[in-house]
Amino acid sequence: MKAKELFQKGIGKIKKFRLTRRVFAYPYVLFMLVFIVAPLIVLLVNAFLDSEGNFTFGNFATFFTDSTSLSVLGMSLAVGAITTALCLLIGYPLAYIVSKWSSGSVIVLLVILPMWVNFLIRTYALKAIFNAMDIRLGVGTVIVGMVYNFIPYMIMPLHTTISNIDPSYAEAAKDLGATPWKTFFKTTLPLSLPGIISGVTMVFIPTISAFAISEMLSNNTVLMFGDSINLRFEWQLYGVGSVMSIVMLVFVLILNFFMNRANKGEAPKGIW
Amino acid sequence: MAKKKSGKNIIINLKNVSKIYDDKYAVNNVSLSIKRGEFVTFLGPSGCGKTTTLRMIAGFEKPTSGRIFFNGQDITDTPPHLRPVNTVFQKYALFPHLNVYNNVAFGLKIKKIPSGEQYTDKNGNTYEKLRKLTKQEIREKVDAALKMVDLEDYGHRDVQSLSGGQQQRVAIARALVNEPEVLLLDEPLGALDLKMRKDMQIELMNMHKKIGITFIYVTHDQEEALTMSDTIVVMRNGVIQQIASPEKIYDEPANAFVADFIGESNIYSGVMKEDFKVEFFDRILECVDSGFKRDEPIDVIIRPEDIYILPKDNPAALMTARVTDCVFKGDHYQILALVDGENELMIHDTSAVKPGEEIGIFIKPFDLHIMHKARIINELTTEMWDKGVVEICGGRFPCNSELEGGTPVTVKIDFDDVIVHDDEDDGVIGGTVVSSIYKGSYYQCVIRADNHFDFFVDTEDDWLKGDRVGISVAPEKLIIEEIKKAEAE
Repeated sequence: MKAKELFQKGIGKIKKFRLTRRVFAYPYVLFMLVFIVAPLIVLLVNAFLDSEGNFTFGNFATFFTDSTSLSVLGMSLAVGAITTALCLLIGYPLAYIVSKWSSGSVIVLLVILPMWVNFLIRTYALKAIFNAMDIRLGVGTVIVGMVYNFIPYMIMPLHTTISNIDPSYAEAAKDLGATPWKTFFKTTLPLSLPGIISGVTMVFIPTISAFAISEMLSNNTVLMFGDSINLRFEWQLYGVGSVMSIVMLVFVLILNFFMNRANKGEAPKGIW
Repeated sequence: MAKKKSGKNIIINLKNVSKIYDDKYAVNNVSLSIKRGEFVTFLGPSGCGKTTTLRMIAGFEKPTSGRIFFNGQDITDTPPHLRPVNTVFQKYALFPHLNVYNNVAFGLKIKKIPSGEQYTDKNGNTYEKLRKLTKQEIREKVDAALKMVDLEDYGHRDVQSLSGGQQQRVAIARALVNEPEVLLLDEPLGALDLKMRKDMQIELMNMHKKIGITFIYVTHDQEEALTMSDTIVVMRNGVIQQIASPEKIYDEPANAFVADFIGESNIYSGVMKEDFKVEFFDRILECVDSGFKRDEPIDVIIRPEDIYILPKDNPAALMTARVTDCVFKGDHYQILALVDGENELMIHDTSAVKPGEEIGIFIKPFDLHIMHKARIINELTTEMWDKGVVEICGGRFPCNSELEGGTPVTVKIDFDDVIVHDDEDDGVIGGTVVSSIYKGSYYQCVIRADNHFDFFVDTEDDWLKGDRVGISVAPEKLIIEEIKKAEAE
C-alpha cells in the first residue's frame, strides 16, 4: 500500500514537471545567482573581515576616518555632477534638434558610433590630442574625457523620449498662445523628463565609478572613486575595497530611488 | 464656387489656397468665405484635404500658394500662437503632465491683457501696458469653463484618469476658455462611441448657439455634418465639391460624388435628350432640368425615399419592377427592386412589400437630379513605345497602332473597356482604387495609377476602396490618335 502511494506520488511529481514558461527563467536565475548575488555576498563578507580572516568593523573605521578616501569620494561626486550637467547641456539640444529631422536617427547613430571603439583606445587618443595641443592634464581634461565617453548614454534616452512625444502637444500649446520658447518649456521639456532622468542616471553613475579614464587623462593626479577602489584591490586591501564598493553601491541605490520618485514610477519609453 | 464677398460679416476668407506635399495636391485651389457665427463643416472622406485646410486656418501648415484672411487681415504668415482661433484636436492632445485645471488654465496663464495703464516710449508713442491675468481671474474663468462642460469637480483630476468623453469636454473647455473668435474642431467626436457622439453633437450645437462664435468643424461622418452645420463644405481629393446648407447638399447634390457621399442614392448613367427630357433605363422621363447639350451623357441621382411604390397596374406608374429584397431598418423598409431584370433601384418606404412582387414605380420629375458627368471617356496624351506598343502611365500596353516609337499620341479608353485584375501583377500597370459608386447595374470605380492619372472604370464588381489592383486593356480597345506636330506646337 505504502509502496503504491509512494509510486503514485512519484508519478505525480513527474507529471507535474512540464516545460512551463517558468522553466525558461531557470538559466537566468542561475546566471544572476552566480554572477550578481554571489559576488555581492563575497563583497559583504569581505567588508567585515580583516587580513587574517577575523570578523571586524575595522575596515569601515579605516575608510570613514581616511580623509584622502573621503576627498576622493567628494571629488568623484563633483566630477560626476559636472560631467552629467555638461552632457545634459550638450546632449539635450542635440537630441531635440535631431528628433525634428527625418534623418535624425542616422545622426544619432553617428553620435553612438564611437561607443563601439574600446573606451581605453578612445581615451588614449584623447590624451594624445591633449598632449599635442599642449593642454595640461588635470581635472578639466578628466571632465572632457568623461563627457566624451558618456555623452552617448545621455543622447540615446533623450532622443528616444523626445521623438516619441506626440507633436500635437506642442501644437496645442502654440494654439493656446504659447510662443515657441514657452511651448518648449511648458510642454516638450516636462514631457521629456523621463528621458532626462534615465540619461542623468546613465551618465552620473558610471562617471563616479569610472576608473582608468581619470588616471590616463590626469597623469594620476586626479583619482576617481572607481580608481581608488581599484587601487585598494591592487594593494590587496580587500576589506577596505569592499567597504568602498558598498558605499558606492549605496550611493547608486539612493540615486536610483530619487530618480524613480521624480519619475513618478512612470517608466521611460523605449529601450532605455 | 469661389464667392467673392466682402463686408463685416465674413470672418475667415480663403483665397485660392493650395497645399502640396511631395508633389501631390493635398488641397487644390480652395476658396471660401466663412461668416461670423456660422457653424461650418468640412466634410469628405479621409485624405480629401479637410484636415489640412483646418490646419492652415489654425496656422500649423503654411499654404503652398494662396492667402488666408481673418477679419480682412492677411494672416497667412501669422504663427499659430498669434491667431485668435483655438483648436480642439482629434485625439484631444491634453497635456499629460498637467491636471484638468492646469490644462484648461494653460492659455490663460500665457495670455496678456491691457492693464488700463499707459506708457510712452522714447519716440513719443503711447501704448497701453499689458498685464497677466491674476490667479483669481484665472480661477473664475477656468471654473466657468469647466462648469460649461459639466466637469466642475474634476479640476484636480489627472487627465489620463478621465474617460474619452470627459477628455473631450476638457479639450473643449481648454479651447473655449480663451474666448476665441473661431473654434476649430478636428474630428472631435471620432474617438467616442455612438451614444456619446450623439449626446456631444447636441451639446456642441447648444454651445455654439449659446456662445455665438464661429465653429469650423471637420468630419468624415455625413450624418454628423447634416445634423450640426449651418453650412457644409464637401471636399474630395483636395477640391471643394459643393458649399451649401445641409438641406441643399442633400436635396441638390452638385455631382455624383456628393450624392453618393451624402446619404444613400441611386445613381444611374443616362442621356439628356432635350430640355426637361432625360433618358435612362431605356425610358424617356420628364424632369425639371434644362440647359444641357442635346444627347449629353449625364448622371441621374434619385434618393431612395423619393421613389414611390404603386400597384403595378396604376396608370401613374412610370415603370414596373420586381422586388428582390425588403429589409426593416427601424423607421423604414429598405427595398431593392429590379427594373427590366437588370437595373437595381433602392427604395425607402414605410410599408413592406414581398420579394418577388411586381410593383409600379413613380418618381416626381422634381426628384430626378441631373448632373454633368465628371468625364465620359478616359483620355490621356502619351507616346508610342514601339510599333504596336503604347506607353500608358509607365506601362507598355500592346495595341493595334502601327505608329513609330516616340510618336506623341492621345489614347482614349472607354470606361467599360478597362479590365481590372484582382492581382496587381496580372495587369500591365498597378493602381489604387479611389472610389466605387454603384450605378444600378454596374459599379463605376476610379482607379488611380501610380503617376496619379485617374482611370474611370465600369465593372460588374465592387472593388474595395484603397485596394491595389492591376489594370489592362485589350489591344483593339485602345483608341489611339497621332498628335500632329503642327497641332502640338
